[in-house]
Order: sequence, then C-alpha cells, then structure tokens
Amino acid sequence: MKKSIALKIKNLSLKKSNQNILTEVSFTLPTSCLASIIGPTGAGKTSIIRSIMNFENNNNNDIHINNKLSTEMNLREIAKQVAYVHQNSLLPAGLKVYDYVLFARSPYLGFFGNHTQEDHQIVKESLMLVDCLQYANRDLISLSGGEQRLVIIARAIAQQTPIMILDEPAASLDFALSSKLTHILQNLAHEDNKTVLIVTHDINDAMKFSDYIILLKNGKVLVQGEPSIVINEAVLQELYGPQARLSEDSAGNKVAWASYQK
Amino acid sequence: MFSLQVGAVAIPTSDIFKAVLKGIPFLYDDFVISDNWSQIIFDIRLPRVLAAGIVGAGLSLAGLTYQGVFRNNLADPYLLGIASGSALAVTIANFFLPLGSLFAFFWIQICAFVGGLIIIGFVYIIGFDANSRNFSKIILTGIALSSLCTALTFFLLMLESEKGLSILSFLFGSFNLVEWRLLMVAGPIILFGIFLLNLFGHSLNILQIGLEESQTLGINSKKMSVILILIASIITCSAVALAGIIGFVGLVIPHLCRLLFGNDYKNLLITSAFIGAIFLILIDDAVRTIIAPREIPIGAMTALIGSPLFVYFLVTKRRGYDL
Repeated sequence: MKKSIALKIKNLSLKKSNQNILTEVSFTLPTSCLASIIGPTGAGKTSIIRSIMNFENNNNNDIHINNKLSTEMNLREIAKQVAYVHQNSLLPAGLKVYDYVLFARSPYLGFFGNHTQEDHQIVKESLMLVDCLQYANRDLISLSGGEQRLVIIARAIAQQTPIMILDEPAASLDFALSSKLTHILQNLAHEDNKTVLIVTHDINDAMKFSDYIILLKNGKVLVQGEPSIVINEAVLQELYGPQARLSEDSAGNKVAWASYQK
Repeated sequence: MFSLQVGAVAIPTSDIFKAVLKGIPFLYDDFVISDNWSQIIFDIRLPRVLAAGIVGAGLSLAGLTYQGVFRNNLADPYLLGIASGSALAVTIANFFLPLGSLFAFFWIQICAFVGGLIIIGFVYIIGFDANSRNFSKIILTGIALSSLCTALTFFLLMLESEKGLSILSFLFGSFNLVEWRLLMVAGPIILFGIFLLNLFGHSLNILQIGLEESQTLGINSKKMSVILILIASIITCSAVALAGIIGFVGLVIPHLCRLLFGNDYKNLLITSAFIGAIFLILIDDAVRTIIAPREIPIGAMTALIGSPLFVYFLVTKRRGYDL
C-alpha cells in the first residue's frame, strides 16, 4: 500500500530573545509511521512539536498537516487531525478518569456539547486499549503517576486523529509499562495507519522501535532517516560527546551507552 | 413566600396568598387585603427578594467562572478587584448624582461597568500569562488593585461627609434601596449573563486541563477565557450597581456546590446559581428581621452564616475535594 504524506515541515525556524531555538528544521512523515525526535536536553525537540501545535509564534510557519497548511486550519480542524500529549499534563482535581478521556471528543461535538453513544464507545475502547478501563470511575488524581500517564494517552487515542504527537510519553512509566506503551504506539502506527511522532530521551527505545528518527542538535537536524541507516557511533558522539558509544547486543540490536572513566 | 412574610412588619401567610392571587385579573377580585400590606409585598419586598435572588445567583456564577477560567479556587469578584473598581466608580458617580433616581441608576450602572472593566482589564494585562500554570500572579494583581480602589473609595468618602454616609451604607451591601425600576435595569443584564454562562459549561470543564491543552481539543481557550471573564465581570458590575458590595457569596457558594455536587461545570453552573440565589434571599431575610426595624449589613451576615456552614461541609463532606 502506498503511504501518503501526513506531516510535512519545511524550514521551520524559531527565535526567542534573539536566540535561535530552531533553524530550518525540515522533515516529512508518512502515514503508518512511528517516528522519534531525539536530542540532548535543550536541542529544541519540544519546540518543534509546540510549533506544529501552533503554540509558538513562528512567522515562517510552513507546516502541512495532511496536505493542508496548518496556519490555514482552525483549532477544531487541527484537533481532528492531531492529538497531542503534553510533557506535563495538568490534571484537574475531582475529575473522573472517564470524564477526562471524554474531553477528547470535544472537536466532534455540536453547539450544546452532547456526547453520542459512539463517543462513549470510543472512550471505553481507548481506556481498554491502555488497560485502564477499571479506573474509569476513579478520581484522576488518585491514580499513580504511571496510570495517569496511560489515561492521558488514552485521551489522545480517543481523539481518533490520523496524527498523534507525544512529548515524553514514557516519562514516569516503569519498564513494563513503558514497553506496553511502545507496543500500543506501534500498533496504532502499523495497524491503524496513524502517524505517531514521539519526543523522547531514550535513544535505545527510539532506535529499536521507530520507523524514522530525527536527531536534533542545537535546534538543527543533525541526521534523519531509518534508525539502522542513519545512526552510528560518530553521529552519537557528535550529539552527546566523545563518551557516547554504540555496540550490538546478542540479538543484533544496536545499543547506545556512555563510557565514563575515573 | 417566607421571604415576603418577614421583615419589620410580619404579614400572615394567608394574606400573602391573597395578595398574590388578587393580582390575577378577574378571578380573585373579591379578596380583601390592606393597601399598606399590598404595597409592602409588591413594591418593597417582592423587588427586594427578587433582587437578592438574582444578585446571589449572579455573584455565585461570576465567582465560579473566575475560579474556572483562572483555575484558582481563590478567584472571586472581590479578590480580583472588579467589585472594588465598580464600587469606586459608583462612589465617584454618586457624588454627582442623587442616590435612588432612575436617571442616576443608569449612570451608576454604566460607571460600575466602566470601573469594573478597567480593573479587570488591568488585572488581565498585568497578571494573566497564558503559558503559566499558576495563576497566583493574577490573584495578587487583583488584590493589589482592589486595595488601591478601596483606599481611594474611602478617601473620597472622607472628603464628602454629608453624602459619604449614605454611600458608605450602600457600599457595605444592601437591598434596601432596590425598587422595581432599578431592578428592571440591572436584573435583565444579570439574568442574561447567567443564561450565557450556562452555555459554557463544557468549555469551562475543558479549560481545567490548561489553556494549551484545551486548545489541542479544538477550544479557542484564550478567546473563550476573555469572553467568560467579560460576562462574569458584567454580572458583577451590575450586582454592585444594584446592591453594593456583597462579599463571600462568589467565593464560597461555588466551593459549597463543588463539595456537594462534584466538579462538573455543567452541573455547577446550575447548582451555584440556584444555591447562590436561595442563600442570599435567606441572608437578606435575616438581615431585615433580626434587629428589625434596623438592618444588619448584608456583607457581615453572609460571612456570619456562610462561614460556619462552609466549614461544616468542608469537614464532613470532603469526598476527595481538593482545595
């Protein structure tokens, strides 16, 4: 099946207080793709996704979402195309998990904000997908950090958009939950033909599970492409310094690590 | 019905019924009721009770809206300085216009709007940061401007001792001066504001997850916030113009409703309006009966009755309620 272009970013630049945060960042992501943006702290990873979501005042925005210029789309149109998981989502007190996930259906509601049977079905399925349906009637803030994270991701899933953007989705998840999340995101990309873009610090997970990887340094794209092709030790050292190493595990997977000597 | 009975003159329930039924043309014309009582019921108590209900509902919803938009449980029309701004403008207007006349009331209403909106404008410009997750700055700005307006108001009152006293009693909050013609100006504005705010229940719910994240759900959160602040401020200004400063209602009634009915703004908008209205009607009953024929300042009474009630609910009905 031929993949169509879902997200196209051309020469994206961002300046704040006379400092270049992003410089001419360009990449294109197709449908059915799990992509990761990787880079050291302060490289501009979050700024890219904030620009895609129109949170930053970029004057030279050339971001196409499903072949439509994002600046020509209203918020509701964007919300039907892109679901976004914030790095530190605000969780209101006294809100039930189910009601929180139901917020995801907002872009599809009419003037009076009445939800349909289908909306409720989608919310239940999304919660089931992340194994959180049993928490539906619990207060959101009574859940553990990891469970809350999964519920936030369920909200993004319930938005039913062709593109999902997640900023550090595995933050506060333990190893098992993190693996489960990766599996869910892979399924969303490959089974449901979504474009899933993740910002992460975990280069090993990104190399292992991503179809496409974008390495950022000082607001510029260092390399981008299939992880097995574009990532080598020289690139890692350019990104993280001379202590960065790349080797292979017994299964032949590339493993990045850092070597520090006393 | 109870509120129409009580006051400096106690009127029996049967006469209240007779007076109300007599008002229906042709059906109960043979009912006999004293003209004085009829006048007390229809010209003094009924507008006063309606005003207390409308102002109570309006202030509760204004407080609930500010708390929802700023995601800060301390936000209320008084802490944000809107009421003090309106009160200052009303004080200035009262120096030039006689209290109580309809012409004056139109101007007082306009001055209350201008004063309140100038203050909320300043508070918004100085204290509002869309990217901030903590709205303490907006509350602190409100408190600072509120204090400034209160100080200026008292300074003006000191300058004019003759009119100062009547303005002062008005500023402490009272439904004493409410008449039909004044209620007919401010009442519809507050009621229309209440109706409009009730359309925004879903949006207020979503605003609780933050301005940026609600934007990703298709809500124009910044525009929505400005609209909501504007409606709540217009309600507050109209309430101040009609009945002076009545604190406590806008802060506590929304919390009381959260404790009792949960955090869904669709429910809270209805319940806060309803409970706010009943609360202020009952408070006004108490104000005019406890030391009749004199009246207790309504602001003192709201705190006197409301505070212990609120603490009681806070202690006994927490149910996951988080301030």
